[in-house]
Amino acid sequence: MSKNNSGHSRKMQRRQNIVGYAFAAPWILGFLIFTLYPMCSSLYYSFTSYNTLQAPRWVGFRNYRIMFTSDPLFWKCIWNTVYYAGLSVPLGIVAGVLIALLLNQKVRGMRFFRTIFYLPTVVSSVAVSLLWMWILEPNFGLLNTFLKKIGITGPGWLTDPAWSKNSLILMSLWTVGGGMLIYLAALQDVPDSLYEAATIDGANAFKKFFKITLPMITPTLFYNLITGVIGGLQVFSQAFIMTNGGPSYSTYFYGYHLYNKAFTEYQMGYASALAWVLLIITLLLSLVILKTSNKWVYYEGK
Amino acid sequence: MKTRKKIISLLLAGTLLLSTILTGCGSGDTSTDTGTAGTTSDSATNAGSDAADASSGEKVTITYWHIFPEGDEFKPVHDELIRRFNESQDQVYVEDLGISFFDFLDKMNTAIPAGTGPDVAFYDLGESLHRAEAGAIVDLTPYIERDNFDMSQFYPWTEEFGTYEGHWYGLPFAGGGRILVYNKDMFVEAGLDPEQPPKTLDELEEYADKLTKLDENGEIEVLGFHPSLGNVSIRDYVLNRGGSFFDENSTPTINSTINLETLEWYVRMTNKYGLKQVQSLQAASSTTGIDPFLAGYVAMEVNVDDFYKKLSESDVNYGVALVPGVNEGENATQGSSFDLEIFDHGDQAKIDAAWEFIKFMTSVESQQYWASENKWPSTNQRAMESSEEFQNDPVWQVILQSLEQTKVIKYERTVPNWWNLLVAEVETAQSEQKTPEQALEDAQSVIEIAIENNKALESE
Repeated sequence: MSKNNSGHSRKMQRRQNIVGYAFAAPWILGFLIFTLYPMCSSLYYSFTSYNTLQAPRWVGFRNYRIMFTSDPLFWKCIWNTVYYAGLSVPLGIVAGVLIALLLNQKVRGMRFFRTIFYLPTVVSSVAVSLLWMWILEPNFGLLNTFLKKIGITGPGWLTDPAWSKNSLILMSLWTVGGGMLIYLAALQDVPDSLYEAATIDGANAFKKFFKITLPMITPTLFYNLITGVIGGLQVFSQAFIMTNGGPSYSTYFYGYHLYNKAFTEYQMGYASALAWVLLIITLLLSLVILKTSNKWVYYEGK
Repeated sequence: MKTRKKIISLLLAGTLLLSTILTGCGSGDTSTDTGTAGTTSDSATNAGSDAADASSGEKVTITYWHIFPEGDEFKPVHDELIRRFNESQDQVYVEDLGISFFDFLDKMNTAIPAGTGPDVAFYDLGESLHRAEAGAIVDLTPYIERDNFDMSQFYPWTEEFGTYEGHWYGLPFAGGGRILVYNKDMFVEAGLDPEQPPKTLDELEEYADKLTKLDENGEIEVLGFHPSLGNVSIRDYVLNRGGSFFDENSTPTINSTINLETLEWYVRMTNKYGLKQVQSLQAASSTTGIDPFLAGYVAMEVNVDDFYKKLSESDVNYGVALVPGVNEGENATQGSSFDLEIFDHGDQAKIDAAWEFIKFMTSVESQQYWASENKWPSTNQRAMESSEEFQNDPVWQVILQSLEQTKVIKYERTVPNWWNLLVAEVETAQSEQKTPEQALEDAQSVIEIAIENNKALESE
């Protein structure tokens, strides 16, 4: 190409860049104003004592020091959150994969079932929480009424501290449809030729699942694991609506502690510090999952 | 109730934002169409100009935010008071905005630091200190002294928890203590005299046993009494026994003997008929918003004075009595009071105008009208005791007696959230995970730690 031409294309390139950024501007502005700026200011606030009525006052690392050395609720909510995420994420993945396997069968009316299983995901978490409050109601709730019919006295699902966290975990399976949809897509991407070959070699269904299906959907599992862990650590609304963090702090999650500090005690500085610690924990966990992923995630064509 | 509030507030968060804007415009209209006051000069009245200047024809417009939005059952009476003020003089015009109770605090908490808050707000007297400390609200003491405004017209206990070093930061509005309500028909059915409500805690328990009805499966059909159904907390029972949670130096006294005795009684009464039964009643009433007493699930419950309005509108054959104590004649419960506070936006003319407005709103006449129409007691003692209507009404008589015995809990600036910390431990005792003694010891230490932490954050 001639020199003249390349100069022209550079100019064109620049113009295209400008147009591209102009189109992306609404998002970029939104990101800068509503995400980056609040994040940076919360980092600043985390080093201050700030009660929203008066100007923030610089206190250095005091918020962080108090958090790790003398806030008994901090460790309690960390434990509750780890317990919740540690159980609900794996359970959600197993349940999601199982349902996806079932819904991957070639049966008449399958679309209907897929819709049914996905439907709960669409319902707002507030409505779901309300519904489950009635299902888990100890005396005349659906679950305990059913258990009574088969001769079991059900526990106070949400009112007994020994059960409350487990009840919320059980409830979290309600929204497993979102993950299921992604697994379903992954399952349908597994080439039939692999199964055919395995059938010819005499592999049974179990072998096929563990040797073909599971490895082929590991990239999806990996994605859902990461998003699941991030979501699990941020669990809040169920506890806020259904249990108020109780009974006796058994459902007092990290997000609840943060909310309490910020909006009932007006300790914005401390709450910001909590938010940053959660961010760091989330980053670390994601990093661990990422680092170990090359051991168990299989990418086709690699 | 709490859960329901939260759910509603979450669900409607978005819509309410919109509707507050709409009612904001709407309520302005409703105020103006009642009088010719509609020709308001805008807030162009210069900063620093005196209220006296306003007499030259310039009208001062002030904004007033409160918790009675469109559709609220107490709103018409409240509106009428504002209208009366606007008509009573031609120097100040009040523009009001009713915000749902669920959103009020959130709105105020974002508006105050941003400087976009109202000139006058309907708030909680007990926590005025928090805003006073931050310099957000006006010290009313100079105005009280200037006008010789008689603060003794309010119940003495409002001064006990509403002032800081002798200074007032809000004028008490409506409030009240607590009363025992009981179902007379159930009393008759159980062979009790409906005109003789229980006078001591022992009697209360004895009556409760008689009033409790089980169905053929042994499930509770009617609960005689439960210490936490209604609108009541362990705070009331502690105050009733003469206990406290902090001494005068703000040192926590959570694990005192009186508190332990109270908690032991509280846990025993809670678990008498099984915690699960009661929890299901509580869950049902908090999700449906139907009071268990009005629904006929409990024969006796402790509720706030302003429950009178709901009682009077129900078809329950009810009686009211003072909340029983260990000994006859000890009937104290926790009192609370709303108040009107003035926010300082640097415009003296508005502060002066606001002062005239809140004086009008808390006056004997206004408060009598409020209490009589809304059946919600005023904390203006003179208003309550000088009314013939209240003297001749047996229910009001009981409420008046309860207001005299009311005790208050002061705002603890070193640990404002102490109650949340305590209640979690009370729950562990109720579910019998801990002994009452252990629960109070743990609450004491958790609150002590919180005080330490807060002090560490505040120190330079």
